Formats: sequence, C-alpha cells, structure tokens
Amino acid sequence: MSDMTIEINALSDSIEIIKVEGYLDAHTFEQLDNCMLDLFSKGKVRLVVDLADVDYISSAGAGVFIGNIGRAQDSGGNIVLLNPSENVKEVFELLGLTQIFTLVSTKSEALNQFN
Amino acid sequence: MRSMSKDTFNISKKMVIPNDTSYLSKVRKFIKEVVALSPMEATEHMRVVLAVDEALSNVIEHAYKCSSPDNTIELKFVGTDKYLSAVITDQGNSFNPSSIPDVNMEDHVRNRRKGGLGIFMIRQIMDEIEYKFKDGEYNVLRLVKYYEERN
Repeated sequence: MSDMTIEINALSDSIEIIKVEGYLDAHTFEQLDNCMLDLFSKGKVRLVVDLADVDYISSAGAGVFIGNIGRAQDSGGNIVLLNPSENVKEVFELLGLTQIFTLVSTKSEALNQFN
Repeated sequence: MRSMSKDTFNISKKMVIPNDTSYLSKVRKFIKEVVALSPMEATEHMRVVLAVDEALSNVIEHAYKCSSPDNTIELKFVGTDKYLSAVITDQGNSFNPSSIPDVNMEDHVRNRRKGGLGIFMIRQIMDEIEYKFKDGEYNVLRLVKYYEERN
C-alpha cells in the first residue's frame, strides 16, 4: 500500500480540490508538491486541500503549503486547508501556520474563502 | 530490555534503519510503541514521534544527502523515570543542528522556502538537543524529553 494517495477534482468552475490520504512526510511530500506545481502551470491557483484523511504530517509535508501559498496568492489564488485532524492542526500550531493559512471545516466554507 | 519497580523505570530499545525515507512510516510505528511504554503524558506522544522523525529525515537529506540505502542510521531510546532520550547515530557528513538559525515563518512564505523546518520543529518539542561529531566519523544526536515540565 502506498504511504499517500492524491485525488484531484473540480470543486467549482475555478476551484480545484486536492484530496490527500495517508502520510504527508519526507517520503511523500514531493508527490503533493509536483501535483500543486502542475496545477499552477495550468493556471489553476485556487486550491482547497482536503486533509481529513491525512494521518500524519511532518515539516516536509507542511513545507509544501508554506512554499506554495505565495505562488498561489501572487497569481490571484490561494490555498485553503479543509478539515485537518487534531494531529495535523497541532503541527500547524507548532510551526505557527494557523496565522498564515485559512483552515475550514466544510467545503462550503472553503468555497466562501474565494468569494 | 525493560525493567520496572516501584520507583524506577528503565528502558533501552534500538532500531537500525536504511538511509531511505520509505522506512520512515515503519520507524514512526516503532517510536510510537516505545513512547507508549514510558510514563510520558499521552498528549506528548505524537510530538516526540514527530521530533524523532524530523531528526531522521534530516540525516537522510543532509548528512547522507539521500545517497545509497546501504548507509544506515541507528536509533536508540533510553528511558528512565525522569526522561526519554533518543540517540541517533549516522556516518554521514557532519551536520550540527545548533548551526541552523530559527525560522521566521513570514520570511519562509515570502521566499517560497519549502524545507529547513525540521530543526525548528525539534526545538519546539524536545527539552535538550546535544550534538557530537564522534571520532571524526559519527554524527551523534541526542534528543531528550522530560516527563515533567522543567523550570
């Protein structure tokens, strides 16, 4: 079984949702990073990342969001984080990321962030 | 090896892993099991797993520079009734964590930096971090977590 899987779907005409499952760590982060860079290259800069099924995140995983949010925002987009587990939230808190990222608990809240 | 009496707790557990990030999830399982044996508060367990995982990831990325998986990393836990320590030994390039400055997250975001957060994370979690380059050959990193907050 793979340590992490990614699924991309359209949440609206201009917003993509990336569903991540498993471990987001030093072994898997590049897969998500490449996925985001690929979306940016297609002009898709409004991203919701569904973290409900991410069981574990390390700084390498969080680094994907830290390194890419500026790129999304500079192009008029954003990265919104949906439904992180308590463990994942704790890592964001340790890194001081809750001030920088918008964390939401439903898809409709996520959509509202782009209105 | 584990022994426990009324007032003492002693534990020593060791694992040797290949220099390969694909083993990290297995190692985290091992760390979780060891931490659960200790008297540490349950709320700290995940944090200690994270700190040790960060240290191992740093060895693979910086000390061994993602070279051959034939290179190995030794992870040894020693627990007493006051603390749990993780000693990480490798033969990669010397990598002193105290030389790494703290992170300014806003600068990180502005500069679109993705890495360089592991040591910052370890400092947030562990009570002591000691590094030695032993015999000009081994990096030895010792991370200590006390069960009770120390002033």
